[in-house]
Amino acid sequence: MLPNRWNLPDLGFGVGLRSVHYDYILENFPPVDWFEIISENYLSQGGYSFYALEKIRERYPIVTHGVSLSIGCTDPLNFTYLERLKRLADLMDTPWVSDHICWTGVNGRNTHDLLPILYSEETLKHVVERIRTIQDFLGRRVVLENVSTYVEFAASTMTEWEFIARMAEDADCGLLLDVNNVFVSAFNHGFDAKEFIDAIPADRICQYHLAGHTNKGTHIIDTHSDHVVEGVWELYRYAYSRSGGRATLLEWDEDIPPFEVVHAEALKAREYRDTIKNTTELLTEAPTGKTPQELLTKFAEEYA
Amino acid sequence: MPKSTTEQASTIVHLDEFQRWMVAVVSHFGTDEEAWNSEGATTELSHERALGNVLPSQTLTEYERIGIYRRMYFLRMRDALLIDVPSIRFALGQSLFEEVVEQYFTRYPSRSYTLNDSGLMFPTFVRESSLPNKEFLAELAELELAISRVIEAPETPPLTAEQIAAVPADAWENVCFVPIAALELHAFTYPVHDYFCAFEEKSSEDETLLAISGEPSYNYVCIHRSDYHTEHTALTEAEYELLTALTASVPLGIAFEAVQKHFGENPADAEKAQQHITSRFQEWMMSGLFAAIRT
Repeated sequence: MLPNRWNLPDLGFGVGLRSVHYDYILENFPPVDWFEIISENYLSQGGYSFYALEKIRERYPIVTHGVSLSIGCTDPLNFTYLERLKRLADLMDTPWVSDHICWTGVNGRNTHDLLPILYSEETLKHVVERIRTIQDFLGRRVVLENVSTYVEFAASTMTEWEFIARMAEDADCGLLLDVNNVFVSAFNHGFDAKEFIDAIPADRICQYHLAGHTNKGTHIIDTHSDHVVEGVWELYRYAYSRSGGRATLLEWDEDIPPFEVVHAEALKAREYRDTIKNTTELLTEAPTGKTPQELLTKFAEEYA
Repeated sequence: MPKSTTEQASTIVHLDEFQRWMVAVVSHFGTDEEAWNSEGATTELSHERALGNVLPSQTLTEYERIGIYRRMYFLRMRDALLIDVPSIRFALGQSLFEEVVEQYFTRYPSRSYTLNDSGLMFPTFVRESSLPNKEFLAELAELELAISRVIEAPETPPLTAEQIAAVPADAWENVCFVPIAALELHAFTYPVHDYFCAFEEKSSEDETLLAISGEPSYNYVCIHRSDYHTEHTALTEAEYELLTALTASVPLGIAFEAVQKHFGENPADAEKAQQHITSRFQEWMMSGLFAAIRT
């Protein structure tokens, strides 16, 4: 297995924790490798939700995944929010703190959406500074996810994948590669999804996301409301073959079926992984003197 | 379709003006044209500059692409408010409720990191509005928000039977109580608790509206959570006053004394009322409304 550059753990195949499944999980403790939580749902640390989370935390690794960091926003950072996030991350002992490469509002107003970034030098500088500040404040690796987008801007001066690669290097942060989001944005904007994935530094990928979406014909909406489509599974296999073992998580947020269905969907990822040649073998067979990045590139070429 | 060089040159926009423009357009509840031409949007970017910045796709125009975000904003905020104040939709009907959603979030856009705070200003908004029965609706929303707060309140262990039994018989007169965190008491001018109970009894498929009684009629309510189960129960005025005093750490003897005025002149009725409220007090203790006793 090729490690990410910080040796953050490969947690296996997890499921996004949703309140409709609390009772099932607490009664059955299903064999899930790990759970990801939406951070904002637990920041108040009260009520049945937090009680259920604490019980689940006793048996499973938990990773916090936020939706309100608003890393691209031009407002000052919200340290009240960050303080609460830090408290939650410490309580859960999350191996990393994740959120999205987006912004959610401005001038104090929150649209509660993952709004698309202008991919410009100005934005890049701004985002990198904020990531560095947040990583220092939280004392944990920040891992950021590419989002599904429905619009592009003439004022952008670089591609999304160039932006992400440079952002990760300059801020020294991790990446959460949402393969479904790559698929959705590739469809909506007409780019090559594999070109996107090839440009992402594999050793900075700490986690994968998988989800279903809704194809409207003219565009795709990232609804997390269905099974993962075949094209996304193929992209996952492709991306995984570049990075090797990384924590993988299935999200299901609308029309949520029984837990067994969601878990079974997550476990399909394991089947796709098993079709990839063991990356450890590649490393063992590889000629000496190559850097991990070179090995990754060779591996990707072999399994493209 | 790619923009021409002239169009692109005219659309160099800075991050902060771009963000203010986009929020203005996304959160405007009119048509696409109205949103792009709204004062909030054009203050940041003229229609021409904005149009030059947003790229169309092979299948969607500039307006349609931004429109995806606009539609999702409305649906998200509507659903968030519906979670906070579900019975309001049955008081207003779907169509008026959706109009109210637009007016509310235009007047009070979310400023919180969580959607769970979406309804916080709703009672204030309703009182400022020209909605019929607005006082009733504002109190109904307050009741629903109070129930949400209790659901999310921190858990505090309630008094145990052993702690209650340990209080010496002659000390009860002067004991004070500390309430659990998940407890709220409310006095409403309108019968909103009765209305909310009727709403809860409706089946999930029943979309018929519930009629509002516009006549004032006091409703006293105790909302509390025990073992992660939230209950809202009706109180008499005497019960409400007693419980309010006890949760404010008034000594038990003084609190009981203060509610005697509700028991009437007739000694037989007064004794019956006294017995009833004493029995209610014991129920409150046993059902976990108090976290500690101070003697």
